[in-house]
Amino acid sequence: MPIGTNLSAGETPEGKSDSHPTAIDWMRTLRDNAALIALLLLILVFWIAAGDRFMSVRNWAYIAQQAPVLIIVAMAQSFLIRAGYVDLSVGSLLGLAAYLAAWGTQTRGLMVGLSLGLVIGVLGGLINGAIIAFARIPSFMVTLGMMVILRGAVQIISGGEAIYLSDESSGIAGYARFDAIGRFPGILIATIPLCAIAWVICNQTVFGDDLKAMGGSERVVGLLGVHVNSRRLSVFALSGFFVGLASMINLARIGAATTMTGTGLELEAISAVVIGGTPLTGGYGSISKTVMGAVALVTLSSGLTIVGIPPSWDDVVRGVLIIAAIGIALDRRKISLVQGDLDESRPEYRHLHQEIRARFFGIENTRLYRDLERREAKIRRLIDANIIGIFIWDFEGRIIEVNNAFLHMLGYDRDDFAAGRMSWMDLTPPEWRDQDARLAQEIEGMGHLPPFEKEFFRRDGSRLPVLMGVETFEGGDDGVAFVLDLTERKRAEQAVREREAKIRRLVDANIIGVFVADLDGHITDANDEFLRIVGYERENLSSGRMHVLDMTPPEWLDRTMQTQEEVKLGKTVQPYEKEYFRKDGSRVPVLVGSTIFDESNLAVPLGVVFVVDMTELKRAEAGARDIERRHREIQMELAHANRVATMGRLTASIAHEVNQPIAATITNAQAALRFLEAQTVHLDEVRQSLNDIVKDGKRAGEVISRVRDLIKKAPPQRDDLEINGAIREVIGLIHTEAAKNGVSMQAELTDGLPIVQGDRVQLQQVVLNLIINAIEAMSVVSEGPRDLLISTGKIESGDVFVRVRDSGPGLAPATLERIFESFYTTKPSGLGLGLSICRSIVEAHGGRVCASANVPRGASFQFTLPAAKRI
Amino acid sequence: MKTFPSTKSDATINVRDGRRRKVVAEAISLSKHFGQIRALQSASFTLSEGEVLAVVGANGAGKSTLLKILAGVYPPDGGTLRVNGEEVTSFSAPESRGRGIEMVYQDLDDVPNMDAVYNLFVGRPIRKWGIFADYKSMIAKTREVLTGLGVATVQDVTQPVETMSGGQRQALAIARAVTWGSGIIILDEPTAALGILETERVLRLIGDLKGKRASILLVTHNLEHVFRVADQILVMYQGRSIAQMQRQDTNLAKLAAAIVSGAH
Repeated sequence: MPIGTNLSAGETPEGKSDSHPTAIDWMRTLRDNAALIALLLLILVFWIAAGDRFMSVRNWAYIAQQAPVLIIVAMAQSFLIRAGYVDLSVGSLLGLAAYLAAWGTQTRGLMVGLSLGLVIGVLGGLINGAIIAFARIPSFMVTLGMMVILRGAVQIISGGEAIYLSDESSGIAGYARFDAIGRFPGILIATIPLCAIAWVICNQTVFGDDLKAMGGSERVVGLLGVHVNSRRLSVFALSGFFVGLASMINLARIGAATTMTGTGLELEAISAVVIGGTPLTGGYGSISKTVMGAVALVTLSSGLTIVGIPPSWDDVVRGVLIIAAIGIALDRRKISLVQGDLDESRPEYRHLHQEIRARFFGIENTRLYRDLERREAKIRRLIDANIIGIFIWDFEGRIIEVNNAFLHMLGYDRDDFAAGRMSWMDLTPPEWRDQDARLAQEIEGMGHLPPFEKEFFRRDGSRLPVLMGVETFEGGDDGVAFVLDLTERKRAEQAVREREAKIRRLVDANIIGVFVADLDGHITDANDEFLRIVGYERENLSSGRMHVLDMTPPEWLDRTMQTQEEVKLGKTVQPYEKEYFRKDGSRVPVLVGSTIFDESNLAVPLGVVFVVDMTELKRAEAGARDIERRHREIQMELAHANRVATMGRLTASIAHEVNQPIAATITNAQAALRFLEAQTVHLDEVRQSLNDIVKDGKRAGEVISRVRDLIKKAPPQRDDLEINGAIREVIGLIHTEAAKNGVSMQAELTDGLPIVQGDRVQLQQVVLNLIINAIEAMSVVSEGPRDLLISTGKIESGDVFVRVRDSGPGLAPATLERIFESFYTTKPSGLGLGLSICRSIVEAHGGRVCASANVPRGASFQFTLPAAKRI
Repeated sequence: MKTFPSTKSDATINVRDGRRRKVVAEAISLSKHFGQIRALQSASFTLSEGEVLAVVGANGAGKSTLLKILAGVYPPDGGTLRVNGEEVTSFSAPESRGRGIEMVYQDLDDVPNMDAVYNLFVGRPIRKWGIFADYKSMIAKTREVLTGLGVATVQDVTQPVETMSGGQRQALAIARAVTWGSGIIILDEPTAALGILETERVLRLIGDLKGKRASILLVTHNLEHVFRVADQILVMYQGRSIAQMQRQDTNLAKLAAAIVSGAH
């Protein structure tokens, strides 16, 4: 007699039997037998609701085919939960085992494949068990991690590719057929002994007892001498072994292993165990009830389909029923067997769905076509029109009739379909068979289906993605299917996805601003950079307050609206400069380029706009313009000062130069007069004198013409000025020139110099002149450093001096004496005015200028300026 | 302070009351630290065959630590422990059990969701063909053991022990110790969780065990119980064993004073 399975517990602490069951006892009984009660209730409900369709052999065969995988995995889970663990990785482990088993079968044959699957299952379990046993991490966390890791491993190993096993090569898939053994699938027959083995392990072995005890108190069991770690490893290995077996069954059922195989199975298995009355806290559990829990789940699923619960409601209804059945709030995730491909709510397909429904299923609602014959006539016309692929099928899955469009899509001849030779399943790739089996049930229950996507095999083995609408003929056991070729659409989708991925990368990089707007200009999405440029918060975006035209200043409205028109026409608008209003009302200069997001696939076409912030660039441009203007002004001022100063200094020269010819002219004129008064007039002498007069007059004219260009201006200004600052400005002006000539220019400006009075521009002209002279002098030196030192300081008298020293060739002693004279120059192209002007300016300021030889070489020019008298 | 017998390994005969009794366990200056906490500084005792040695002391005196070293839960940092004349060098619970030492923990350490049969045979099941449990034999043996100890109140040995009373569960734990222990049974506060009637039942059981040549190390706070069942009394104070005395050499007041002040 097995011990410990009697949980009805009608016992008081003193051990006396209580013959009157209390409410708590009833609830316990209810909970412990939840699976059985749920199963019976479900069958009853569905029987009443769906009648013969539910109680058909066909439906029970479907359940028998769906249940084995869940039963076996639920038993694997049951071992663990009984021992106080939980394994969230069973789904992923099954996926990995199934994948490697499929690979092994394909490359080395069935036996190798099956062994591989089992070995992977056991290994996976052992790894879980070892981490839990030795690292002392709770099983929930270990297996949660393992769930993700193993799913990733499948992805890595498979590279995203599924493996399909052909019936002939493996012989495994046929085993799963509805009628493999009698009227039942072989996989169900194989599951029964497994259940028996699991029951014996749990209820008849020392190991099973220890597991249950560990679920009660692992610490005590260890304390009392059970090798807990070996039990841990064993139970996880056992569980893994069962998962490996389940992966075989799954492979047989589907004939393929995909990267998604087994997804969500762990939670379904846990649900099955819990429905079977096993609390997640461990220490209890019954294999038979776990099996019934699994069967109940599958029955529920099939029943919901048959009574016409929409697939989107399926999970919700199942969840509510599970909670109600077990009275335990179970954290439940998605248990869907079928992924969301049928979900009409996906916006990108909503149009298409509506279109197809309107075209083909609208007829159902139209009185005109209630009449069967007329309706079939209509369908006949559709078939013959060959606009879309159409075939007629029966509930046995045979394809009875096809139109040319359908043949054309798949590349078959009409003969291939003669006399129902082809079945729906023959044309269907393995991974779609589950969905189709489920849909077949739905259509039997509801008469029609919302359009769904699937794939067909073409004759050449390639795959054809299609959108299908299916409908039964009233009262018959056959129906019609409408098939739309999605190849182009899929390709376009892929292109769009790639393009959108590129755009998404650009958007997320936040290097440039990007926003998406509808064609009216409502901004629907934007990246952080754009929000920064225009100074908005993300909340403004989500509240829908941002509109392109609102953000555009009036003078740019025309251009912007024109751009919108171009985008609407599908053009990509070349980038142009404009401005946006920022949120605070200020303007921001930007460069914008726009294009349409996608033309074909979106319900609402959107424009995407790329925005580059031009603020910095504009500011830099304006800055550059300012500097240039200032430069020019200074140059003009300097030139003017040059002229003014030159005039002052030149007055003496001019007087001297002009005086001399005038004096000579007078002398010559007097001589000529005397010649004319003589008795004998020597005309030659007179002519000579007059020629001299002309020559002298011309010379005076030349001198005057030299100064003609000098323009009068106001006399030099006398301002307080700080000489170092003025010099720094000059250095700033000349810096590039010096660098261009390879001159290293240094300044040693003594701080705290007295203020001097003078004309800033004129004094700057002096310094500039000296520096330029120095640079020019050094530019002829080919060897040695080109050093230029500008220094300021104070001499004993309190006056300020400015000194410019260079390392050029220097000045000859004789030159030193004459160098400040007008029109004296040592330079081939020099005018000989620079230094004389310098001297006149300096002397006009009450200072002195002198030149000397520099040590070790070069020249040194220095001028002094008197300190301003403080009042 | 009592003078301990010779610590030589052949000195396993304790002479007291003119009777020669075999020494089954002997501890000399055992010490144990947990990080900074000195749980045990120097504990020594001698346990003779067929005797009940009561270990008394205030909370934190080191009683439980001493017992757990004996039960092999953890090794001592220093000192010597001899069991049946052999020095113990390797400490673990299974090894301790192998030396015939069984421990009954104070907080009803059984597996609550399992029945009396499992709890009695846990870790040592009767097997059939290696892996299967021989429930028939185990049930019969359980009934026999419980009846033999006078705890026949357990009617259904296949119900989970969580449905039984505290006294029944403690009796079952002691029964397990008696069944498997070949000499030394450690009882850590066996009556702490029990009611008056249950306590009475357990004390009677301890008294019965003496006649079955089992040596018992009993830890309890209840000094009345000590004087009812103990032959020897070991007083612990702040990690040290300050005295091991015979029951007739002391009285309740003296013992209480020793426990509180550490002097005797």
